[in-house]
Amino acid sequence: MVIRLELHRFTNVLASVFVGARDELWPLWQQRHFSQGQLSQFSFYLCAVLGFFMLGLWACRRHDTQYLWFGASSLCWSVPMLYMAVSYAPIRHDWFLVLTLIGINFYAVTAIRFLHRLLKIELPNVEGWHLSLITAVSFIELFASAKLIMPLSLLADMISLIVLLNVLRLCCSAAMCTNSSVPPAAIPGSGLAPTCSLHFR
Amino acid sequence: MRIKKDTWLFTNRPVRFYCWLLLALLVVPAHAQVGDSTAIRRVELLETTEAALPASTADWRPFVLPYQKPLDRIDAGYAWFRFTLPSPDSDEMQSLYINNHLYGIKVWLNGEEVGGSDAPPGRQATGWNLPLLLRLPASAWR
Repeated sequence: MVIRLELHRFTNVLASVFVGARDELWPLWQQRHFSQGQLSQFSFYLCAVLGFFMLGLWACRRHDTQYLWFGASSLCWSVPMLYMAVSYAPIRHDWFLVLTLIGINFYAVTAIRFLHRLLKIELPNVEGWHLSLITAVSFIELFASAKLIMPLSLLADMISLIVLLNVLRLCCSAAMCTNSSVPPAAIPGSGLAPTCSLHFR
Repeated sequence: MRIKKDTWLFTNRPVRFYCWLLLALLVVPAHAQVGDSTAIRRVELLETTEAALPASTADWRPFVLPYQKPLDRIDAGYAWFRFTLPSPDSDEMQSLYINNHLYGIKVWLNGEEVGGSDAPPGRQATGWNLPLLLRLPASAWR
């Protein structure tokens, strides 16, 4: 038996191969197809519809930027879900992969901004730095080599993770604060608005 | 009774539901069994720039799957994998299963093309996340 694999830009892969009775391999294929293919397809449609719906809501209520950032994050997440669901690239694959990685990068930016709005955390400097760094990394990803693309993607994830951990730290601080008599806004450097109220219901 | 704030995450019904759902999705693929199927790991590899089936006397070298190679060229050629299959013991329908592949693949059995990833002409197949199952027709076995 001979298998031919086409080689293109970025990582080329052929995983392990199994040969056997169709009755044995069919359930394996079905399970993987469901957990990887169909769920990704469902997530893509869900994120795309939700994203446009939220942007529509934001258009009606411009002052509620929660809708804007939630809609934007949903649309950003729909890009990697589309990448996972399709069996062939709608555009040249290397650009599709770069677009997917950039989609993930900006998903983190928009999702964290949504969290900030939801929890009423005001950290414009952190948001500005986060956006600048992610934009810079995403720009480099456009021209990165095959060996550099994944480390760059990991770097973007690390940056976003640090910002997300900061959100969690503030949440924990505020949760402890609500148990004591100290108002949340009194925590130095917390970035919590004076009218801050973290709702845990 | 008011729920304590630090236990909210574990008592909230939707959160618990999503946790169970995530757990179930993790468990489902773990139960997948390959049964008596043969896992092909040791193959012979040949890298060419030609799309035509290479000669059996070409410079094939031993290789152990999985194959993973980062490249910077847009059209970098083809990687060929050759291996021998034991004849099927029974008349059961034989199939070929590949977990993931990137990019498009084509499969030949005894010189007869038996299938591959289907993408429209000019498009690149991206099956790294989608498994592939191919029937191996009885006529191709010798």
